[in-house]
Amino acid sequence: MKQFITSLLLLACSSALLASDAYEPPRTPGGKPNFNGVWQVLNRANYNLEPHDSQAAMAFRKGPVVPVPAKEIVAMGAIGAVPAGLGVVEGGTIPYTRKALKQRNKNRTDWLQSDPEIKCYLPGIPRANYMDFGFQIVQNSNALLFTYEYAGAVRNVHLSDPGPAPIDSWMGQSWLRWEGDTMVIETTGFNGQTWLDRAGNYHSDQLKVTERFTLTSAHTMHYEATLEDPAVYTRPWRIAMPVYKRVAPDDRLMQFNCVEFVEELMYGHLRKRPLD
Amino acid sequence: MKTLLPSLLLFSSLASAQAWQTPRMPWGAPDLQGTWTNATITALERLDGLDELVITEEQARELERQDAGLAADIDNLPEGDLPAGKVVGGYNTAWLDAGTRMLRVKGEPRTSIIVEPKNGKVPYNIRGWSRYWWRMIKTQKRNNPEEQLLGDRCVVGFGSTGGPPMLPVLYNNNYQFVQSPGQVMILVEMNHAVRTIRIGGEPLPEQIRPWLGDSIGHWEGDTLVVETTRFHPQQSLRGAIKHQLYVGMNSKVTERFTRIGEQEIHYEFTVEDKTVYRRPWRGELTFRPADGQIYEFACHEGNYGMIGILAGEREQGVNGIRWLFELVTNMPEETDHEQLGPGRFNRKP
Amino acid sequence: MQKHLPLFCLTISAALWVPYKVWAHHAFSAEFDSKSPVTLQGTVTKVEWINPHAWVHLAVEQEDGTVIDWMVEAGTPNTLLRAGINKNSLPIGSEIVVRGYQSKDRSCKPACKANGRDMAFSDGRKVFMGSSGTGAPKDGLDPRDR
Repeated sequence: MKQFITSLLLLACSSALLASDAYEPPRTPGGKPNFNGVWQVLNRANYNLEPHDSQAAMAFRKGPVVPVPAKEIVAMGAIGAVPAGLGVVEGGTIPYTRKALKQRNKNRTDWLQSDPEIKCYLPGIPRANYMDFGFQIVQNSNALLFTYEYAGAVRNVHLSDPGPAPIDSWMGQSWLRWEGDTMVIETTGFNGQTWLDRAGNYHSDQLKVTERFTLTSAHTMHYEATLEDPAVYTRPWRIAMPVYKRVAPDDRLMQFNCVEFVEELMYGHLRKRPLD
Repeated sequence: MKTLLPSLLLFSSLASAQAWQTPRMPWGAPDLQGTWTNATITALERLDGLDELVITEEQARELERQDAGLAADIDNLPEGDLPAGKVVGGYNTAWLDAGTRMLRVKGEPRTSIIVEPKNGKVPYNIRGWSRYWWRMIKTQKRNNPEEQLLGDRCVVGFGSTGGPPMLPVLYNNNYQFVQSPGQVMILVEMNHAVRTIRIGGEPLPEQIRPWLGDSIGHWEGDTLVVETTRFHPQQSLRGAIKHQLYVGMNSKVTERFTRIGEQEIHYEFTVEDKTVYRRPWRGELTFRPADGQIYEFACHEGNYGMIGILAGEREQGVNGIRWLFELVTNMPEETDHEQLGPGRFNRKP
Repeated sequence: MQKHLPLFCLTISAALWVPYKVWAHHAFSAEFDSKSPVTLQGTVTKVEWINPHAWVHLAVEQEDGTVIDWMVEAGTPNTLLRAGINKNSLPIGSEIVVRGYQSKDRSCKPACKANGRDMAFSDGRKVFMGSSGTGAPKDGLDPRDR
């Protein structure tokens, strides 16, 4: 009888263990999953959230056979080319309204003049999280700070809902709540001037982003973001991707202030002796 | 009553014996977290007309009264059109947040942030002084964006607001401290700069020179000691209305942060550089809780000013001797702002 | 350096002559023209609550009936946010009087520019009241604050 009960117990325990495949993360002294560290994506979402093939450039002009890179880009050769990406949008494409889709396509054609990333402008959310630069999460019971290598962007996340943002901003106003071991961050108060990627995907100042961060292993987390913007999209839609934790000696951010890199671009024509 | 008094005395001495204990992070380090401000009337260098570093509480309050009057003058302009040929800058005081009180370090009123040398001035040597002035003159030429003040370029904030050392300017004097076991992050409001202070570790390779330098910290008892080197070569001139400072790219800044009260962080710093200064110099500041949260300071994205500065100069600028003449004749108006500069307590009526 | 030596020597001598004091923060005198003070009376059409300077756009009606668009430079909004101001605090359509100095750049694109040295309502109350350090700052927009 003892043996029978023991085997029953063993069976019950092992099936329970098998059933709960959720990762048990290390925790902060406050008992929450510990997201502290430097993180970075390994996908190509910043080029284009939607599935895209590799291509010669982000901006083109008519060529004798196929479109060729725009004049400003051709000198970069392969370095100016675009790698392929599987896409991170659930359902494949972004559900724009008809009018908004026209604007998105216009953004795409006007990329060189219009992508805020080119001028080193703050990237907004969610774009900051999937740029080709890492970000650092500093988390404890009294604070949650995201600092980004690109443009030194920073997100100071409120620990409770502060109500509507008093003014609009580039990075929006974020606040945190927990759903079990998932960090849920809601962001509103955008100024509508950021893009979602280099492919012209965009939003208005009515955007609301709800992000969910879940640790999935010692060096990965699952990131998804739901975007709602009645001025631009026909319904809420979602992106999802893994994010990887950087290990030593790469577990620190370098600096990419980048404002000083675009002074010739933006103000060169106002020099006493312009170069061109 | 006779028996009550001794017990009252005993009670109060027991209460003071319960000295304030520094709160701690869960891993034991002192808790410096929060949003703090270093705004104060006192400037980096000794205010004009004041010889001693320390003044009495009464003298401090008198200066605070004078300062409040000067602040009111900023808003109480005479009626009618503004006069031509005067200092064109500034706004109503609602936009300013320069501090309404003299600096008090551990309760002691101070007339300069600098404590050594005794005269309260930055001890430049000839080389440092001429480099400082050369850079300053270049900022007045408005020929190229790279030569303008860092705050005008929106690269980092004005003056030495991000530092280090972190010094108060006319507004946005707010800093948020966030700690994790291996780091202390300081979010500087102006220009949204984040100082990442690594606890322990080696400085960056010599070729890498970030804005605001590379900071490495360690704890000495309950004091966070931060050593910063590897300054960006263009961050040497730190210009603002409240102070002008030249710190060489190979300077070393050592800061000490100690939480000495629920609402007080004591801040000391030393700046060393034999190529710029005659001797190392030291300063002290008090950080108090800020008046609210830090808001986004997206500077570059809204920098109409840079376009205005360069375009204005292209349209109306003059060259050579005429430029020099205008520079010198504008000087009395440009230097030492009437209501905000360090000479404002020293004017002859 | 050799090429600039004469100018360098002149400026160093000039610098020696003038008081060794603070210089201009933010190139006000480069951007705005001290010889062109302006007084603008108009209605607010837009407020850019941005850094490093907020810009208040106003439509100024001329004597001949034409309307000129102006934008005036103010300070950092962050100070006001901490005092309770928000993006609705200066409503579109508000009538204000701005005194300042016109920009040296006269291209008037996207609008004529001036430094907003003083912004007030027609009755003289400042658009945003400063804090005197005694009590909570009032923004002057609440009609109950009389």
